[in-house]
Amino acid sequence: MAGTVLLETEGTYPFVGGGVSTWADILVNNLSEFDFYIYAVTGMPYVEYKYKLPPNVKFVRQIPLWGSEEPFEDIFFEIPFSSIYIRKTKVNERVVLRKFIPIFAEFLSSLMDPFSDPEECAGYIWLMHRYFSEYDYKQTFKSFVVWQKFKQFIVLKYLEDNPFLSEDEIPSVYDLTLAMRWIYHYLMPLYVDVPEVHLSHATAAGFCGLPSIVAKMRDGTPLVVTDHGVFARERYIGVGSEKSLSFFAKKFLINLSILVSKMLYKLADKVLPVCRFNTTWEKIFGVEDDKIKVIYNGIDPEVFKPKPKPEKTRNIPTVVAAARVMPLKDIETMIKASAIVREEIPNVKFIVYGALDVDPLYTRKCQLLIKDLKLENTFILAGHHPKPSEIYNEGDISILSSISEGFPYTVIESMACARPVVATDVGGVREALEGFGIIVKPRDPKALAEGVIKLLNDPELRETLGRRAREEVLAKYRTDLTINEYRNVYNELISKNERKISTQKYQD
Amino acid sequence: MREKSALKNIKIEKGFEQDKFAKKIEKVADEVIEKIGNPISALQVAAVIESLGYRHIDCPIEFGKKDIFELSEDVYRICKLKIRSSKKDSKDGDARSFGKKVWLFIRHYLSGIAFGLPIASQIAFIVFTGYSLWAWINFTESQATIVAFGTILSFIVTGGFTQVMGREVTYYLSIGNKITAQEIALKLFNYGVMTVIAVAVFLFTFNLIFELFPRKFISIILAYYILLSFLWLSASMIYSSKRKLSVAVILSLGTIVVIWLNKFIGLSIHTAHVLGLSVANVLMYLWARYIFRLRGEEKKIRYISLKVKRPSVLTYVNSPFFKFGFYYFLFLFLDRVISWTAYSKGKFYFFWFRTPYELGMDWALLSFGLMLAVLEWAVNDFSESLIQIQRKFPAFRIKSYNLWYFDFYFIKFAFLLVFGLLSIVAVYFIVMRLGEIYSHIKMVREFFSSPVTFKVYYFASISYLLLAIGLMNNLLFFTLWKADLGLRSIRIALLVNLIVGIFASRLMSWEYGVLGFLAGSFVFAMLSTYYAFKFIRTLDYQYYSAF
Repeated sequence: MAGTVLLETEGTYPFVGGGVSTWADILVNNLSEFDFYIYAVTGMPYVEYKYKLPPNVKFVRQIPLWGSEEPFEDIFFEIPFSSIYIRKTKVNERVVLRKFIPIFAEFLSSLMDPFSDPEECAGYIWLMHRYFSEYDYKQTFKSFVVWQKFKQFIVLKYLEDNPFLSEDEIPSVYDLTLAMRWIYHYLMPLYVDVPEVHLSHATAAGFCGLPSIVAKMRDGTPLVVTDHGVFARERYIGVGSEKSLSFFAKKFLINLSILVSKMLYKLADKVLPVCRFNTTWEKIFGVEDDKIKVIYNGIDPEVFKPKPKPEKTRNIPTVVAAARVMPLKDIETMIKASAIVREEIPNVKFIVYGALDVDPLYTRKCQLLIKDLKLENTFILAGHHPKPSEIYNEGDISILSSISEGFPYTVIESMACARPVVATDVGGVREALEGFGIIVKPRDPKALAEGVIKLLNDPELRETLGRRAREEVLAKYRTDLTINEYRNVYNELISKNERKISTQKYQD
Repeated sequence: MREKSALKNIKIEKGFEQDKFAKKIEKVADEVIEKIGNPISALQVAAVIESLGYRHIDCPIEFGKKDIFELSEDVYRICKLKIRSSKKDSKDGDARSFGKKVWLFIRHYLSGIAFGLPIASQIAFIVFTGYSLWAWINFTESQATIVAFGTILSFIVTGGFTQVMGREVTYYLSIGNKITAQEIALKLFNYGVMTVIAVAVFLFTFNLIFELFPRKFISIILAYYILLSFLWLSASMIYSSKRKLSVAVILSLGTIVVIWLNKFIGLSIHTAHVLGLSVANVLMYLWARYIFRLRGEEKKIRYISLKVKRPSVLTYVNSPFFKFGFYYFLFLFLDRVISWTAYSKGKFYFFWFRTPYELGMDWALLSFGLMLAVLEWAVNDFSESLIQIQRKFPAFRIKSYNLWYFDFYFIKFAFLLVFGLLSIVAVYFIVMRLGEIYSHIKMVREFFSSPVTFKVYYFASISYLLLAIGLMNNLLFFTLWKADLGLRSIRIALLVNLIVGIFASRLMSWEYGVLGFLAGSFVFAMLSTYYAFKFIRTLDYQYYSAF
């Protein structure tokens, strides 16, 4: 069994690097019997692929949500402008009022109603897509009647439904503008053509999955959602932390994200989280138990394999970490832990490999902390490492101090290199590491340090845990195992759908 | 008795424990508020608590709760209580102090003055040395005709390109994409150059057939026209990257070359101008390239589009701005073209430069320069206030928000009107006084000798004030990318300028072409003010749709 797959990514493959992109790259390279159409939702318009695309990737459609003065210019670059121009000229207030506003109003009602039916809303999504296949997207959203309708909706309905709002919870004029522009930007995936495929696979339960909803509603295309982190949960945190946004703006954007997640979960035939930790949140957002199947990330044990320590760290007790320097990774706790470890093991070295430019302010904060604690010779922020598979073998053990994670590659990569990990108990870390490393409470430098000291002072334990960790990876977290699981899901859903279609044909 | 005391002890212990839990829960609430402010739901609080590193398994011991979800219910309630007790400043409108407003005016006004610096420097050169980069105080009328024709044509042909250049380059620079800014600037420069050459070829051929000017004349006209056009195109690259001062410096350097070649080397004035303009052109272009050079980090930008729009799309999105630029310069020079093509004594060719008319226009131009700087303030104040004021008005008071901008607009309008009138009066008296002081100089006496100069000055200075009002309206439209509103007014104004100008210059006297300018400016001011009202009445929509 093989077929065509619409793979939807959000801010990742093939334009941006990182864990999810690596996962997607492994997927498309190893499922060579499937042809992939990649629809990549990005923040800004990108120009270069970060990955070499295999021949079974038939097409890449980029959908930048921001930074395009005329969205078609970056989305439909192969279509002559004349045909877009015709779509533009067809839009007028009358058309928008008669053909778009009725659908848009229903969509808005669903958006602001926490008890709305996601399936019904998916219907509006499909209808909007149908409208945009005939009429221009930007021209429609810029029309006066759309703004009027939105304004009316918020001013009348929202304020009526929420009479006890405190002063700072009442939307301002600016909030209205922001919210309506968000709708314009985030629904951009509805502007694209949706190909007829055998299966669609959204790599996040977010806006990238909108074409999947269309495919499901239009053709009944089987839909699979993979959750690396739970999109809606991440929006709670990410949007919530935006200091510049008002209460209403945050609520609006989070509601919009949750609605899209709920639609995808409702329509999905299978939801495939990368760890069990995600399932709690998926169920909260409406995923039924029988749809969930955990497929852990896998790595290539031939690439990540144990090697002797290199010369530069051979005689030094070394703790390595692969982590971008950002608050979520809580490098500060790691630094504090290193100070405690040094008291016990004076020649210890902590080396952190990972980009330093993600959050320059935080990096600076970490550098100052290193200086304050006089750890210049103990704690090294080494920046990007060109060969990730070499990182773990430079150390005796590895460390993860994050306060939030999904199912981090760094843990299984280190395990594959037979380097035991001291990690914080976040996300799916426990699922991989329990029994093969040391798990500690997050934000606790002392506990983290104790874990490190214990492993560094006990070579036998280190060796035993390392060996068992590699065996665990070989047994559970190999790329081929992961890929086989995806292959099986694809084949199962495609054949089920084909059976359904042939039965329908027979009945007709 | 012992049992009772044990029970009491347990109660006290429980009380202590509850108190300890309550304190810990409150601490979590503080952390949540610190991270997300006012939470939208208990579920959001749960997600945030997880992200802060708390674990479900620790909840019973640390907080006396089953898990984070149960904990989040309490935390959510505490957050809401804490948030509600803190108050917020809700004063409507502009909260900036008067002092700050005055400072902003000075800052923007000076920046506006800097905008006119290149022209001001050229005026200063002509006053003090008798030379400018493309003019000379001793020009004969036929020489001046040649130069004026070339100059006017260069402004009209490049007007659209410079307008689009400003818009596109500023846009890409504002999003930090210098690579595309550079590419589009060069592309537009090249398109401009091609158009300039095409017009030159057409004009040359046309003149070959119809002989409007003698062949030698047309060559000199075209030399001025081409060199000035190139100069405007390079200068607009520099302008769009906000380096106003360098343009004035380069023009001055070019002028010094002209002076040196004509005065000290003895080359003819046209040759000196052509060489001076060439030097200025080379410097301007090189400087523009230097400004747009990509330094180490800038070359690495990969997260944004490096594509320049397709020509069809570039044309589509910019056509209103292009047209406006073209119409504006056409409008600015139309009265001269009309007056100088009307019948008059001593006219030699179909287009004949008239010194008194030009002097009147230039005199009025001084007050226009002072008014334009006010526009810089008005439009910057407008764009800087937009988000701030939108934040101040709740959504259900959206009409009041639009009304607030009516007040804002009237203040700007009244200020411009008063400032404009004062400028006209001040410029009039200053020039008259200078005329008295330097009356011993023949050239100064000649300046004041023709009544045409005064007539043109009166009409033109009022026209410029009206034009400034129209321009202010248009700049407001442009801020929110509504060039269409501006186009509607300038198109009709242009037509009125043409019709009134032709009738007045042909039926009354040639210099009454200036009445076309006056009528056109009046229509432009009125119509654009009418559209400005409409624009402000729907400002919430205009702002929303500016994407």
